[in-house]
Amino acid sequence: MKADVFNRLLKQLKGSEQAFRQIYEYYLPRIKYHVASKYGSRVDFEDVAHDLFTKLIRMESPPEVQSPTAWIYRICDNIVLDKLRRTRGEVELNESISAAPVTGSLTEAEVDSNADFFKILSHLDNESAQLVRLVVWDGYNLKEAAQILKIGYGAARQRYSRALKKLKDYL
Amino acid sequence: MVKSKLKRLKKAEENRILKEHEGLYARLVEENYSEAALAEKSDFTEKPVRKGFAFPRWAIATVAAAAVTVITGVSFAAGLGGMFAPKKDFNNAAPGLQGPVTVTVSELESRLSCTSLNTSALGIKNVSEVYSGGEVGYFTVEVDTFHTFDMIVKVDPEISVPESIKPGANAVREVNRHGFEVAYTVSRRRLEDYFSFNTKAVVTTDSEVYYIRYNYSSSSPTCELLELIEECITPKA
Repeated sequence: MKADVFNRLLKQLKGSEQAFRQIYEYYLPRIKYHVASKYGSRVDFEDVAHDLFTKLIRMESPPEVQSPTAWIYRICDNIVLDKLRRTRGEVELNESISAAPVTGSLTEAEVDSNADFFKILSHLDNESAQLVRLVVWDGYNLKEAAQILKIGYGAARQRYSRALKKLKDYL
Repeated sequence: MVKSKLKRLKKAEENRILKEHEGLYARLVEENYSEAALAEKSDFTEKPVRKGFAFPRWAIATVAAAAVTVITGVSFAAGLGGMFAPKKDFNNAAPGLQGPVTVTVSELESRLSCTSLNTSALGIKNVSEVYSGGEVGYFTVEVDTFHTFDMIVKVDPEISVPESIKPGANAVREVNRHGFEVAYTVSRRRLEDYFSFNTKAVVTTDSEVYYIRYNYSSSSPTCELLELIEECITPKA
């Protein structure tokens, strides 16, 4: 989602369900994969998403966000860290409860087993798959994706182009 | 080719996840956008006044602010030789302030002698008349299911709409429900009049069609909606 569109929707979020729906529909799938791939089954994805959207809606003065996806992921990470911190406290008090598996969350492998999009990416090497995922799934542009992967823009462009050529055989 | 196929797969995956978590969406909407949740959160949740004199304080303040705007505008216009001054002072526009009466949009249009009140663009759900008469009217409108705003409507009989731009036919409108962006046609003179005391709008021209583009801002919704609604009245050609 482009930064200007996101910022406009974010400002309207408090009063407009339509604005909320747009942000929700765009980011929910992305958050799901982000949380599943980074934290596995340690946290409940729906809880994280619920906290995230509630925070966004109730935000008093939304900031001007330069990179919406990165910003959303950062908030998600902070929510997860808070939750894990709280869970750690619970473990010390009652290990038997914390040992119970968290229901509702999915590991990346579990999520991927249902998704054609991610199955296709498995034909690529790890770096290329990450790049394609950042660009196509997360919505970063190539320049931003290159920064995230800490590679040059030229290299990213070349890698992206090669990855698409390779994927042609599987699509 | 590859990109479009990837995008299709991505879309399918997004839809699958959204469907899987429909319950989460319903829960968030219930918690944050239901009548009860909004009543807790906002001062704007009061429904528009319909009967009697139970004006909310903010409505009175808004009407007062609107009146100041009109007076400023009138003074400015008078200063330029009365070119843009309305025919009547708003204080004399009606015999007196009467209790608010709910009116339909078509009644409102008829009373204002305008052909189209662009309510759908604004998401207006209901219009309650507070005060009207002659060329000036004050109305309370309900926007977005829970926001209510007072608006002032001026209908200037001197407004001229170019022949080439007839409301509903060639008039160019661009409505973005989410962004509250409205493009609307008016005469240049009207624009000059309007913008002499309004600095928030941006005007661009494209041959004979004039666009006024507003961005709804949650920071000062009342003020901006007043301006927006005023421009959503299409005068009779």
